[in-house]
Amino acid sequence: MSLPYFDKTHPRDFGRIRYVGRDDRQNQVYVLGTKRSDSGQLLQELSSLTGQAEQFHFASTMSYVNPVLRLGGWLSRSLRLPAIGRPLVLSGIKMAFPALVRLANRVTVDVQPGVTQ
Amino acid sequence: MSYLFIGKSGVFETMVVASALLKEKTDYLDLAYFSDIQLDTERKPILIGEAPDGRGVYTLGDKEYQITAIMAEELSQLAGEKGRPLAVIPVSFPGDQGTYLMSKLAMIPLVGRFFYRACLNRVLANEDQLLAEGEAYRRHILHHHHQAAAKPLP
Repeated sequence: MSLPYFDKTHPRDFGRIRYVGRDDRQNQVYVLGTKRSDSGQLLQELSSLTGQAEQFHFASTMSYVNPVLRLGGWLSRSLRLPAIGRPLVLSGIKMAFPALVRLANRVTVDVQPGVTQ
Repeated sequence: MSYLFIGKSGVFETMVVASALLKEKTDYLDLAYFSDIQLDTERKPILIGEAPDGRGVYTLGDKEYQITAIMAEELSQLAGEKGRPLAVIPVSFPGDQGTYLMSKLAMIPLVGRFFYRACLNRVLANEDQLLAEGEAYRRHILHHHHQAAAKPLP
């Protein structure tokens, strides 16, 4: 809940890459929201255009978004009813949390120091 | 640096606008990937040639092109000085939503041909305006390129 941007984003934030911190290897960690769930390949292509593809590691969290989380997010952000939506978001996050931690651990193992995640 | 033109479809209106930026004047109808609707569905930047300043000119089609344009700009900034800068040019045009929808319908076997031709007709109908938009952008970058070239060395 205390994380920056947690359940606080607006539609205008889509496409914006936001810094959230560093991992224990000092790699910078960012988050990005898009309207499409299949943006991984596109991000890879765009980072290649910048000539820095090897500096980025993209991890998709879309497959971890369960129906409770989706409904909570929709109520909280799209309908602007955080009083109803946020508890659902929290409940959905709790359900997905173990899998999200496993994803984060996998990414940490895959990524070399000095890479943006 | 590369130029990336992003619109609803990367192979119709957006490609016509981008073609005006090419170093060697090329009729957009002669571009290898013009109206390649199959390629457009891949959501990959399409290299169409070189700008007068030697930089690559790309087009990209995406339904959510405004979000993709923001994303591309942000990635370019993140890549920083070590990376190749990316000039992102979102292309919107009245009726581009219609062309986009028809390009999707053009994928349907048999009847798709009708929609494909409709896409081409829409581009032809707006050809002058699209090329004028591209020309304006070409003049803009040539102006900046010459200004930078004329700058005395420190």
